[in-house]
Formats: sequence, structure tokens, C-alpha cells
Amino acid sequence: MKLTIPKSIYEQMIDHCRAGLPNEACGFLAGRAGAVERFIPLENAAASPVYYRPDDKQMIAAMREIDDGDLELSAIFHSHVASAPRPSVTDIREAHYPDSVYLIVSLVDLSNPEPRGWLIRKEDWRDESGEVEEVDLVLS
Amino acid sequence: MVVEVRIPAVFRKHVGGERAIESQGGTIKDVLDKMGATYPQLREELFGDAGDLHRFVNVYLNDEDVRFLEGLDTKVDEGDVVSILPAVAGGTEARKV
Repeated sequence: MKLTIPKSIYEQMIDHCRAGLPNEACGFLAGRAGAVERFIPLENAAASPVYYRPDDKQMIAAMREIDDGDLELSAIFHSHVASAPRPSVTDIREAHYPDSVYLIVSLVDLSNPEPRGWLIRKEDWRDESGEVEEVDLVLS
Repeated sequence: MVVEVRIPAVFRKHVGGERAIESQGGTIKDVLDKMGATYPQLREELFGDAGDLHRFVNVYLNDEDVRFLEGLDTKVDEGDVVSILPAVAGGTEARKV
């Protein structure tokens, strides 16, 4: 599987992640059929360098925006400020959107952020562990 | 009270693909019970064996998390919007020093 991201949206996402430092940043990418069309930044209500939880009001508005635009939640992105862009135990435990790419941007090298995308699938959406599959990220 | 219940994409298979459905009741519990009677598979997804909302399910009245209001006993008014969302969260686990 692959996720295609317009370069302008990719750059907005990276800027949002850098702006969130020293904390993790988060947001949604919305689109259709594996192609991102919209960047939706969200505030990290947890305000933590090791955890993210989108602001409730912004997240509900974002879900409405996605529905109203006939879009899909293509990706849920967040940054790892000091670790590799692989799903952590916490990321896997808290992943409940099997059809959305979990996109992680590592800011270990601030001059060269590293994004990677993952599908996190579980037998039951409420399970705390699951299978992780990497998704190719393609800039367009 | 008639309210709109917004259904997330992951659960729409249980409600015929609808993004939102109508339900009724005086409290969030009434609204979810009524909805669960019509859509039993959705009820199974949302509630644990003890009848409590699963901890990864967030329910919002308009844009307030009902856990920060009066939980399932939170009263609803005509025209309110109830949103059901699986939790969105994660992050690097804390390192042990």
C-alpha cells in the first residue's frame, strides 16, 4: 500500500511538527483512495514530548470537515521528538483506526525530519496489540 | 428529545453506512440504549461486558467529552449532536531512567 502526499501538504505537516517542539505534534491528513488532499493540524492537548492526544473540539470539527468534504481520514500523524519514526508500544495500544495510516515524523535530525507510515491492524479494534505494516509514502 | 448521533467511519458498517443517525432520550445513556436496540452490533462494539462504555470509546455531547460532564447520565436537549469516536492518541513511550 502507498499514501501519496502533495509536497505542499508534506511541508505544512513538517512545519507543524517543528512548531510543536519540544512537544509531540499531531494532526490529520484527509483525502481519497490513498491520495492526500487536505492538511488538518490539531493541537496536542497532552502538551507532552512523549504523548499526544488531539484537542477534542478541534478533532470533532476535523471529523465533521472530513465527512462534509466526502473525504476519508487518510492519515493520523504525530511526531516523535527524540526517537525513530516507528510505532511505539503506546502508539500500537492506542491505535483504533485500522483504515488510516499512522504517519510518524521523527525529529531526531531537525534538519532532515524522517516520516514513515504504518497501518496498525488488530483482530478487534479494542485490542491493545496488533500487526504493523509499513506503507510507502510518495510525495507528489 | 431527538438528537443526532455522528457515527465514525469504522462503525458505519453497523448502521447501513450512515454518517449520522437519529436517536432519542433524556440522557446520553438513553440515547445510546435506544441506538443500541436498533443497531445491536454497534452496541457490542461500544460497550464492555459490564455494560460500561469501553475505555477506548469517547462520546461527546456537542463538543464536550461526556466523561467531563456527567458521564452517561449527562442530559441532552432537543437538537443536540452526540459524536462517538474511537480514541486518538499515542506517542513515544516514556523512557525508564
